[in-house]
Amino acid sequence: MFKVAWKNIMHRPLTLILNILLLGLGVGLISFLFILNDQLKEKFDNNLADIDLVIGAKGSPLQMILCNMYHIDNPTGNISIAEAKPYLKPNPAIFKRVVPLSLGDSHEGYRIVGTDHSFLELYNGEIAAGKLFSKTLEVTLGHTVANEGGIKIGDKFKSSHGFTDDEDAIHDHGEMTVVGILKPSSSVMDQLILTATATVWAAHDHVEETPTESLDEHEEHDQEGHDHGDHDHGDHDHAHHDHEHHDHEHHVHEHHVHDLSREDLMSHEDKEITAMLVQYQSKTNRYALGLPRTINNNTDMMAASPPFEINRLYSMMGAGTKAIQVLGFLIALVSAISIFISLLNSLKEREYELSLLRVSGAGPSQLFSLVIFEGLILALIGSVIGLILGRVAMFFMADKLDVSYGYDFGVGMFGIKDLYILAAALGLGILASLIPAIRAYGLDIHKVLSGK
Amino acid sequence: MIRVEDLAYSYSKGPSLRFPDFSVQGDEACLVLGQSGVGKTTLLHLLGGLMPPSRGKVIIGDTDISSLSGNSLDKFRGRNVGIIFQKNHFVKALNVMENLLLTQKLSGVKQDADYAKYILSQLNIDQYISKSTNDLSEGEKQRVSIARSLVNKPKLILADEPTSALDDGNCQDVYNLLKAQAKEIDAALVIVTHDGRLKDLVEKKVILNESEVNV
Repeated sequence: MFKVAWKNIMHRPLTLILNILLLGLGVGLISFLFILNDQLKEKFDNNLADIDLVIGAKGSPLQMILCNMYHIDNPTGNISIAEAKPYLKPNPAIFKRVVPLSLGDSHEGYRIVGTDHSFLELYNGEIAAGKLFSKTLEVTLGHTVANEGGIKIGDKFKSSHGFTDDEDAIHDHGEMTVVGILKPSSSVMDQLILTATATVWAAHDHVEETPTESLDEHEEHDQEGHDHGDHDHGDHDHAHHDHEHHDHEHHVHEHHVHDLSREDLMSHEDKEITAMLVQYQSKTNRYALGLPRTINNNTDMMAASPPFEINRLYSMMGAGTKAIQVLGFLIALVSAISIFISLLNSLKEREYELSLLRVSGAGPSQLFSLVIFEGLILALIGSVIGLILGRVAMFFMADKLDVSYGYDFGVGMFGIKDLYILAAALGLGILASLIPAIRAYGLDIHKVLSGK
Repeated sequence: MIRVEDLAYSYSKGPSLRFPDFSVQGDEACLVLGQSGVGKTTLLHLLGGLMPPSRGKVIIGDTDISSLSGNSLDKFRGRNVGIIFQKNHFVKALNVMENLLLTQKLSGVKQDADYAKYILSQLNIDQYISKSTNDLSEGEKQRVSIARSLVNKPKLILADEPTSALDDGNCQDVYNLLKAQAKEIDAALVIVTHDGRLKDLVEKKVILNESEVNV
């Protein structure tokens, strides 16, 4: 019976194409949305990194989160070290970790993040080759940056302002040197260029110092082969010149030798950072619970909770995806009606044929299942095409998303949701063929065969 | 063989028909003659178990098919009755051979492609074995219809006006073909027709006439 059903369907290629196109479109749209949602959620959730609070300049809290945690938006502004100081100071009773971030520059579309080594602890970053940045203008690359940007250890580059790779925006100062590459972390860190906070200052303050040696005693793990007299790179002369220049005309702290210590960071009260990523020791600590409010009310800074803001984002996206989802369901429904009508029509054409099957020994229930099979086959082909279509759409969207989000989007694996979609589509197929099948079941063969 | 006893059928909105008793042995042929409207097709459908009679018995072999219903009737018919209808219809999506194999399959007998091929060659249409039934001429279609009615080696072959559209020569050919094939499988052959040309060819006749109607 299954074979006959198959042949019957293949006998009407136009009806077949119409039906599977409709269903394929509906299923494709729905499955595409599922994949997109899943991937976005996955990206967002992967990068939550247990961060309890983001503190930055006042503005849109969502923007601040997107900028500082997901690196897909511009900063809301900067905060001064003077103001951030109370939180940057190690306070193990309250904070497990407070990570300073300085943003604003990029290289070939990859964001440069000025921070210290605590940033790597957030994302469990491990060095794959070379070493971690240990002084100003040394950078360590995220895995994707090194892979896709084709940048190697020892390469030098100048950062450009903002997020775009615009020739005009390239800073003509502060050449950075790649000293290391990180292992893949499947987090946003893979897309970042990490460096010391002072590097970002150096790039923006035209009178800033050039590389000096690391004095970091707290977090420097990787000093092997580190030559303190590393003065043989290209900007040596220039640096030297600057140095002398400053000796004569600038006051003491600009000559300060930056290291990666918190003390050093906090000592530059006139400098700025973009934000701080905060992990509490305990989320239920009274001080921790009151902290966002304290910051928002009493300082020029803003504090926002990532899970809260991301949920807000989901609900905003939800309205849009809901609308498309409804459209997908509508198309699937129309396809079910189309299957219903085409089965009913073909039934009328085939009354004689079906009667002949009865004459040859097929029972009414066999005719019933024949028609159900035909509906099922249409639904199966349609939904499989739909699932593939969803993937193809995601494949093409992935490129665009990679560019606009700076994340890697995949096509996604076939999972339990696809089974649900398949089951729903097959259910729809059965539903659409039910009435035609009942008609086939109740066919009066005498009436049909005698032509009355 | 087939035997009819006290058979009658009443249309819910229409005439009541009563049919004469008769029986046809295996390898015997019988002509059911009558004018249009006397219930020839109705009788054929009753004989084939396509609908239940209002009264009486249709006995094929040892089975009274009026006592069968549902799937068992369909299966019995598929296995024991071959019917050639006035219009030659097939499962359009299938080719000639597939139509024959489907007929075997549906009746529950073992599929026997060799026998199907043999029948087709007996009817001189084995060259159309994998042709779509749509591409055949009416005469060829009728031969495929005949092949289909024979492919399960039934006890009874029913033919509804098999010769009405044929010229004299073909009329005789088709009858001889039917007769020969029925004889080979020892089947009773019942031909329902108003075609007078067959009267001279078939000895046994059942005449339906007006007097039997509206009893």
